[in-house]
Amino acid sequence: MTKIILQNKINLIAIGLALATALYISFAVVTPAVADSELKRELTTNCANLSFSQSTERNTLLDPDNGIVLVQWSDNGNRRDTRIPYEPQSGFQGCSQEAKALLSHVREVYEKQVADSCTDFKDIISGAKPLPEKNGKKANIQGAVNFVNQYCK
Amino acid sequence: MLKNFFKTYSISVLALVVLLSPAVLVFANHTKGTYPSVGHLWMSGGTGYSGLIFTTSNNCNSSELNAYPRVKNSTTGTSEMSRWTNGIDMRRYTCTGTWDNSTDIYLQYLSHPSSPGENHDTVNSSAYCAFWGVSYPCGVRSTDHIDTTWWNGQGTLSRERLIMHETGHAFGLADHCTSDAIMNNGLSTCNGGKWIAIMQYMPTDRTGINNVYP
Repeated sequence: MTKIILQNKINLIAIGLALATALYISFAVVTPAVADSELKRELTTNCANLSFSQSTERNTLLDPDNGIVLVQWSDNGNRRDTRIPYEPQSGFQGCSQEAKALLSHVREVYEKQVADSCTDFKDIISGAKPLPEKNGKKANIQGAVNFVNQYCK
Repeated sequence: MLKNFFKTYSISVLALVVLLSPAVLVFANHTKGTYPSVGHLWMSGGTGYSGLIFTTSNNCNSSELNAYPRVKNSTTGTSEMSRWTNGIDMRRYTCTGTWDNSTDIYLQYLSHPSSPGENHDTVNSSAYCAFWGVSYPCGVRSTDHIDTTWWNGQGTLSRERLIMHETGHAFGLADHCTSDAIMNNGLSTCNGGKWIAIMQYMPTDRTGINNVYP
C-alpha cells in the first residue's frame, strides 16, 4: 500500500516536472525563434500607427543593443504601452510623424549620453581622472576600455 | 473537490506560478517593468541594495535640493522598502549637465512643449556593467526632461513635486492614478488631478519600487 502511494507521488512529481519543462521550452526556446519575425512586424506596425491623443508625458526606455524603444504614456488616465523599433540609420522610416519626433528626441538623449561617457572613460583610461568608487565599489578599468573600443570614435 | 485538485496538482500549479511570475510582474500596475531591464537603485543587488543616487543637472536649483530630502524622508525605515533601510539617498553630484560614469540621473531643463516633464531611460551596455563589476544587464541610466516654460510659471512646491515625480520614473515607476501617489501625474483624469497635495512617497509608490527590484 505504502509502495503504491509512493509510486503515485513520484508519478505526480514527474508529471509536474514534465509540464514545467514543456512550458519552459515553449516560452524560452521555441517562442523566441518563431517570434523574431512577428516581433519585427509588431514593432513596425506600432511605429506606423503611434499617435498621442493629447498633450501628455511620453516616457521612453531605449534598449540600443536590441533596437527597441518602449513608450509609455497616459491616455485619459489609462496607462498605454507600446514597443517601437529604434533604427536611426534608416531615419525611422515607416514611422508616424509623432513617432519620428519622439525617436529623434530619444536619439539625442542617447547620443549625448554616449558622447559624455566616452569623454569620461577616456579621461579615466589616460589617468587624467581617478578610477571612481561608489557605494564602496571600485570601478573596473577594463570595462572603460571595452566601452571606448565599442562606442567611441 | 478543489482541495483535492490542489493536493493532487500542487507541484504543477507551483511550477506554473514560478514560471509565470516574471511575466506577471512586468505588467504589474505602477511599475515600468522589473530590474535589470529598468531602474538602478544602485545597482540593485550587486551593491547590497544601496539607495544611493547621483544626479547631474544643467540648471542646479534649490527645488532639486528641497526635493531630495522629501524623497529620503518618505522612503527611510518603511516596511514596504525594507531592503533600502536608509531610503533613497539622492545627491547632487555635478552641475555640469554632462554624464560621467558615476551619474545615474541627468535633470535636463529645456524647451519641451509636449509636457512639463518626461523621463527617458537608456539600458546600460555590457561594457558599462563590466565597468562597475556587475553582470549584464544592469539597469538603466535616466534623463529627466523638464520644460523651462512650465518651470518658470510654477511655484516652489510644484517644481519640487515634478522633480520627485520624474525621478520616480527613473527608479522604475510608471504613472499611477488609482490612489494617492507621487506617481499621480497631475492631469485631471488622474486621481482627481492631485499634485502638490501629495509631497511625499506614498505606500503605493514604495511598494512599486519594491516590486521593480528582485
